[in-house]
Amino acid sequence: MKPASKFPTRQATLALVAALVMNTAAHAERSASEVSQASMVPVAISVALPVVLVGGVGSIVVTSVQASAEGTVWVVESVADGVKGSVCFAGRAVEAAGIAVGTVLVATAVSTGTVLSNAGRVVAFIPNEIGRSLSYNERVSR
Amino acid sequence: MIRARLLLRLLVGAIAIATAVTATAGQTCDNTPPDTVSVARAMGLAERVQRSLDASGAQVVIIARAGQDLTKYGLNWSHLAFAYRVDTPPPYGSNATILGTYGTGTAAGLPYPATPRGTWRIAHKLNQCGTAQAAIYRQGLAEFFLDTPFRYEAAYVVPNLEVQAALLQVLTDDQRLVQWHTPAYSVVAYPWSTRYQQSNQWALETLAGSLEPAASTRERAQAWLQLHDYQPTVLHIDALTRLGGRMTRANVAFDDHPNAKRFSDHIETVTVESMFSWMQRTQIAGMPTVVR
Repeated sequence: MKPASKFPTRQATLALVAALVMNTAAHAERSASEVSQASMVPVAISVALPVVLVGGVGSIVVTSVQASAEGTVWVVESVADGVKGSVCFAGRAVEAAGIAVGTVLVATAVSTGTVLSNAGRVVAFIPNEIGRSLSYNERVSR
Repeated sequence: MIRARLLLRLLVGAIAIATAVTATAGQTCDNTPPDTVSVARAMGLAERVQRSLDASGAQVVIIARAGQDLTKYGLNWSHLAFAYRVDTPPPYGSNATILGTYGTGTAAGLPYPATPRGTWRIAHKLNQCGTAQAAIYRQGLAEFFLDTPFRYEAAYVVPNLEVQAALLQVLTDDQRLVQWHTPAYSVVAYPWSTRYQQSNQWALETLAGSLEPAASTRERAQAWLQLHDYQPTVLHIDALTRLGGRMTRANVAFDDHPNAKRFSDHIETVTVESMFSWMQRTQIAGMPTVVR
């Protein structure tokens, strides 16, 4: 008689291993059409930044965070020379970034505006004229 | 007896794993903010695409990005959207635009005015963080490429003028934009079923509905597409891979596919390549332009 004892066990084990491997692979790979946090970077609606930061790289410290029904205003100060400025965001878009008073942000100029980052992660984008023509976000369906 | 115990233990283990996997399915949304380099790359591509679209002279284009590596299926592009220009360029000689231009220069020794940059909107369908649901969004070119693409490249086709005019009517009207939208989402939705709808399929059915007034529902849009010989891409996905996908991701389903095709690993779905090819064949649009 043919010993069939190990076959179902082996088959089930293989299926389990395959399912686990595929599970790992599936989680490592994002869907092509998935909305992501990246496209939800808060975009400033108005700004008065120290001139030194507009065209290059520099650091600013957030000295005040003022939230209102209309939006959020960060009052900032240039680390290099103490010049003050402000960055305004509409609504509650920027709250998720969790920026507290005393946070130091790196401002990096790109062709479309200025990117504000904290510990290497972008927390907000300040568009210039070109950036404004490129940025928009609206959910149309519920 | 020992064998039975072993099998029982294995079965309990499998159920526990399956339960854990099901619990996490659909929670794949990456909440990590992007880094400065990827934002700069996305912005750079958005700007190059803007220049290319402006130079095309089109008002509406159909645009693709490489959000995911699908080369194992012989596909270069993964996600399709409509892009349409919302501003009207000022007439030649106008000096209304100072910033946001391509700059001024001279031609034959005479100064020529700066060319204003176009403002383009993307209309597309996005899956909600790996769940079985999706929604329609209107975004800027920057947001379109900020979704961490696999390759920082884009491809677009320019529809003929009649098609552009028909699409523009729909793209600027919120009600019509969602007319062919079904929230239930599967990344491999069957093209001839209305149970689920993936992003490229929404674009295809919306295009059909824009061109044919009688194609006012998804069923009718699909009938029109069959009549006009749209051919979906056939992906060969074996049973084990289908099972793994179904178990681990909420946005993967195969139960809308006919059994005969499904069980022969023959999965038909709407892809960018199949749409580009069909639009060219039917003269709805021209050859794709690639922007890198």
